[in-house]
Amino acid sequence: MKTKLSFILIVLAFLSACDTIEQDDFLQGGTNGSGDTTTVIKKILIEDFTGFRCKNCPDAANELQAIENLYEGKIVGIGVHVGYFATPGGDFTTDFRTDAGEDLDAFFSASLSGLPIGLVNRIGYPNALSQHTDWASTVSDIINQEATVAITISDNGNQISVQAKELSTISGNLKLVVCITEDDIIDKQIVDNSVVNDYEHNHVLRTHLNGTWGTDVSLTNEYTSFDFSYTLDGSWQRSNCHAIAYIYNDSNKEVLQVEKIHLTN
Amino acid sequence: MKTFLLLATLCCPFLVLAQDNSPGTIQGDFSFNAQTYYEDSAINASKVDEFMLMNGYANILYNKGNFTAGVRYESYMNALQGFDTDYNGHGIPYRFAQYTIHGLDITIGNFYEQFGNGLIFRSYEEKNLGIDNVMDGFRLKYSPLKGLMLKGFIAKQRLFWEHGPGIIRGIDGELNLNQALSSLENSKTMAILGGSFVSRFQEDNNPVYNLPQNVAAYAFRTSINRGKVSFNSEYAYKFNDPKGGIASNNYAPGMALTSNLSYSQRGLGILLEAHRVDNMDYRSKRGASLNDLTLNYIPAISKQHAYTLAAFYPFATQPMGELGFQGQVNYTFKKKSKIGGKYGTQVALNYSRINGLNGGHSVLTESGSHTPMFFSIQNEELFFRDFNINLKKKLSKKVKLVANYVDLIYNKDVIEGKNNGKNIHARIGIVELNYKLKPKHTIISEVQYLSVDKDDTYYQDQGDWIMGLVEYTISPHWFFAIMDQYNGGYTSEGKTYDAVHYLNISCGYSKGTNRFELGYGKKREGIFCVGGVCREVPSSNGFTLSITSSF
Repeated sequence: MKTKLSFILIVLAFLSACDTIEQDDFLQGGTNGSGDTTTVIKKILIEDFTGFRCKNCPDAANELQAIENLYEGKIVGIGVHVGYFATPGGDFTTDFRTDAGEDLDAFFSASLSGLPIGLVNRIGYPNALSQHTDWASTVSDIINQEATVAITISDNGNQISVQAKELSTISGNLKLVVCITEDDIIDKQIVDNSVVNDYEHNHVLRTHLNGTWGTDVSLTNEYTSFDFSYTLDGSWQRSNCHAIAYIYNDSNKEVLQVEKIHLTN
Repeated sequence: MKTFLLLATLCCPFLVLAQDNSPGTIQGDFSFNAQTYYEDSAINASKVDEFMLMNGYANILYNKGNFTAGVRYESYMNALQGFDTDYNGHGIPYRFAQYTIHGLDITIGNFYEQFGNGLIFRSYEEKNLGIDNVMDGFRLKYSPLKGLMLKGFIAKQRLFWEHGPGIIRGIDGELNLNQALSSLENSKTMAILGGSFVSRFQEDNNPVYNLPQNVAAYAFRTSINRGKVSFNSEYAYKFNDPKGGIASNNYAPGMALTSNLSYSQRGLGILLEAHRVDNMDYRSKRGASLNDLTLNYIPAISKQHAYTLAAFYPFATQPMGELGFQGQVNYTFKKKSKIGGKYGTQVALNYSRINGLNGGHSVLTESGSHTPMFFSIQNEELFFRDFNINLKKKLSKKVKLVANYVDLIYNKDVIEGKNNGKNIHARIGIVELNYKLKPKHTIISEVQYLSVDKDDTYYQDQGDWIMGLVEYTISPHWFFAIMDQYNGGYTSEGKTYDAVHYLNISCGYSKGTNRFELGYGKKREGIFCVGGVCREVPSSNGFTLSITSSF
């Protein structure tokens, strides 16, 4: 009898190990973690490895957009089209792949891990890849960290100028990457199991201006300027293009700061 | 080193306490697989920077009386193509100590376990697929009453060289009524009842949604056997298990129901099986994908073919939702009968059909919900259909014949995540002849042909394949094999692919428990499955070396 009672108690204890959320409580009250905007904000880079033939990739693109909306002005997204799922074939004729994207894919083993997958500030290298369902949680963990680097960008039509400075002492070799992305590209995309002909692709990585891994930079507590000239491919819509600059620590690949501007028309 | 020290520390008290003065026994096994990779544009194979890749492991078990301890060393330097590169490295991911006293079985460290059919919990390894979701924690087994076995554990789950974030708690009870109740002791009907409960704890730090931190699942099962008939069934339910993220979350519960009825007598076996699965992807990390951190296992409901071309289009269970049926009849025509001939003839007929759920799996979000009909076949998306016949016949004292015919429909879009918009309809014919030349000398030859339906309603994939194999065995030490798979070329997405031979030669030598196998050849890309769980294997060209040993 004693044994049976113990067993029942154990089962009851286990049964209590379950949380059921009611439909009205799925969503929280809502907070976007907005902080003091008078100081330099640490912005976060999310790299979304994707492909237009990857049926689950729109989920990650939606997630990236939702995170951008939630943390308005604090998130910079890049859609990196890579691997098998981005390879043109049949009706999928556009090639969104880039040399830099393929390098990043090979380095972080994104395609091998299965798309969609991404990087949030490249935190955790060599195990930096994370699923899109984890991005928001990672962002919420780091969104209020103090910025250690400040970046500003300007564009004069054919030259991007990046100014950067240290806000606190950083050990390790720093690298600056400047790239161009394009929004509002209407092209094919598989969504679930159907081909959507007029899918809107955003954050699409178009090119790196200073190589996949960027340029070595030495920062001080005063702004230093770095200039990069560029030419847009004829097929890109300038009005939809952005310049993105980010600085990462080469020792652990972690992105310390990222900034983005709309290219001047 | 730390692990060895830990084991030594753990073992010492038991060794001192043990009254048995025997030194105990040590057992072990070793496996090493290596491959070189060369560039081969004809089959889209690429070389690797390392020139050679390898997977290897060794288990060492120590046993003394009621005490067992073991470790497994694993090495992936670097992992063979097709295996997750997160395995790269080496170390001891598996170590355990186990002790049984007065019926209480205690395991600390790593353990594999399964509750019932595995619908809510199965921790297992399948090295060929790169799957090892071993648990790491405590496990207890105890039988408080005759016929009743209880199991419980608290553990984390292996993810490559680390652990998943979830803390998993599980309890399982199984009652053998014939053993527990004296009135049923001599009953011709044997009955076993079982129940299990599993819960995962994972912190919720989602900035938008309230996610359940404790996600539980329970299952009930029964097994009844009377004479030639047996019936097994298990029902499982999973509570809300949203994947996370802030764009959307599905809070719908999951369920699985599997049943099979079998009849068996000398020369005749009949199996009828059905299962329905809805939203039952249960992992030790919310939102985990691929084969990572799977907590449960839904057994496949289609035949797992062994012949190469029959296994060309294998079905893998879709845990998010499917409804499947399978029937099989095995019949042996007696010796000296008209069909049985001099030595008898074995025939097996198998049919399986799996389709998607009505309107897809269950969905429950803040703005709406969908619950599929419990039973719906007509007009639902077909995932897989397989009808196959297998015939085995001994033609003479020296010759055995095996013939197979398989007719299957394969939904590549659902099973492989591709987008062809059409299913593949393939017919495969296989003939194997086993010829005993003289004592200890055997030749096995196989011819296989796979033909895809050319009708426009079907996707033709890579077209037709033919395969030939000759294997010469000199027992007990040597074997030599040559195999060729030939594809006559095909056009896909506007690109034309040339005809190509995938030629392989291999030889093996066994002595005692040591086995060496060396091969060279081309491997085609494809899907490799075990028990309905699959991995994609890229094409390759190179030498392979395999060594296994045990003591």
